[in-house]
Amino acid sequence: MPAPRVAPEAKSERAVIAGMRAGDGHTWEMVYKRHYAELVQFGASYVGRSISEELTQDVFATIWQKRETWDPLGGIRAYLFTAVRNRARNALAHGAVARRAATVSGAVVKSSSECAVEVELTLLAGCGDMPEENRLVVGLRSIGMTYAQIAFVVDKTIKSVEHDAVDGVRWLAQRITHRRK
Amino acid sequence: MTPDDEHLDPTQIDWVALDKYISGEASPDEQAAMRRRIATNPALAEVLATIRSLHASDDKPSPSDVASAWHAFRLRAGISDSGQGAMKAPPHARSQRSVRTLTLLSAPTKRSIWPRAAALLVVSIGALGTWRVVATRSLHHDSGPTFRATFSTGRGERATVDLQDGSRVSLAPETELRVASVGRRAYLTGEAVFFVKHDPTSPFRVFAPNGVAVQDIGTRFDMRAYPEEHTVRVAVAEGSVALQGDTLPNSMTLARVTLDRGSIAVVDSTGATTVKHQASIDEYLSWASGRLTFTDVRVADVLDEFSRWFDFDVRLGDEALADQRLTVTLDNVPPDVALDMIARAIGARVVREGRGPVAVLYSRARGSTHE
Repeated sequence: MPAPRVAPEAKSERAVIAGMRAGDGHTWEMVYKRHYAELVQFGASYVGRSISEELTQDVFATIWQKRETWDPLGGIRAYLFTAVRNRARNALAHGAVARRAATVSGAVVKSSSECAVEVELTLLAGCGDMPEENRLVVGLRSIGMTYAQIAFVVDKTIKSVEHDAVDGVRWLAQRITHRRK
Repeated sequence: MTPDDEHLDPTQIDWVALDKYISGEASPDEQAAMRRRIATNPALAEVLATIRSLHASDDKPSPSDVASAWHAFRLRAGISDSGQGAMKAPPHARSQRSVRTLTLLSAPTKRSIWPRAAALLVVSIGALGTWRVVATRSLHHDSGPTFRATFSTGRGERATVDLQDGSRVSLAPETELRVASVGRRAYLTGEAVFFVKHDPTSPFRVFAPNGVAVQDIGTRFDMRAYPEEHTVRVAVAEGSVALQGDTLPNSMTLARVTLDRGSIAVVDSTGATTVKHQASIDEYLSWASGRLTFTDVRVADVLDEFSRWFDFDVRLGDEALADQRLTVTLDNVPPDVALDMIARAIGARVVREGRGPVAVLYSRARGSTHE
């Protein structure tokens, strides 16, 4: 009986998971350094950078402690993003940190064109107004996550994620088009 | 839609293709086609710029930030260069929500009737990093106390212990606390902050290696007794303690003294005691919450404490730096950041040696060219 086919990516990820379970320091360093920055950046959109750094360290520490039985359904990256997101949402739910509002740059924008200044402020404000679910999915797509990975993070079907991604971009395009008229 | 149209006609956009381009999943041909459209459509360019702004660039750690964070995590997990390790108590953890199991070793004795390896205690660490003794076996000695539990930390480690009487002890790095089987007695080597649950019928007593003892009269205090320092220091934050001798060596005489809130007493190797009072002694206890405070301390002494605290060896490339005095607070920062703070404060620069936690400080003023 032939061995079951395994996608190359899945096979290498299984090897990485095996290395992490075994507590191999080089594997841990690779995974940590590959994902730490994007996880902190992702969590910062909820709770700010400082808290996000703590949450991300906690996620890795928790995985380390239970590494021997760790089984990341959905893959390593999706698991990590889910864990950071859950911790960030818990922190917000318990009032531990104020929700990070969509911000408009407070810095003086030096430009010879008033029109350019208006555009920059509007750009920053526009993202914050996007519906939360769309914003999340569009944001994760912008850092290269697949529909399947995002579906795991947001606990939705892949088809729903596709719709959220497309709807988010369309919403933004319509907003910009309306402002330009 | 014509290529030079400045607006986006929603009915003319392939949203799926745009989404694929955003995520990097587009084929090379698809990417090229989208780039051509972006180049001629400012509105489309705005959409992409807006999406990229979803993640603020200043929220993304730099490569050096990532390296520093990894170093902190590696120390915390106890991962060596060979790649193995076991979780240690975080040196400056803000949250200690993890649960783990630690094996305690009994205190070895000269004439124990129990095999050395027999008395293993399993302790479960619950929420907030507290330790509870769940099983004990006592060692019997011909003389001296018997112990029902021993707690110890290594370099770069801290821990919090809940004793069965309701008292709580925070252990600094390189500290051993042995709890006697009978009575409320503990034996300390190192440094610890004690939050003592007062019981007038059974006073809590802590003994330093040289026999100096502190007896609780309802308190929160810090006691420091590292053997290599040859002194015992007690700082009282709340309540009162009695400082006295118990089974002192012949070279020591110690008069009993009561220390109240705000008192700091230092007992030297002869038993001579100096006591001073301060309005705030927070700096003597704040290490228990991860904040190291040095006020007008010799740089050499600061670095000794740094090494113990972070399990990170630092030596001086210029001996003239040793006697400089330093005032600095290191508040729950990773070792790389702490070392940079110290270096800046004394006008030095840091040179890392190898891949491990080893560094040398050189004076900038002397223009050392050593790299």
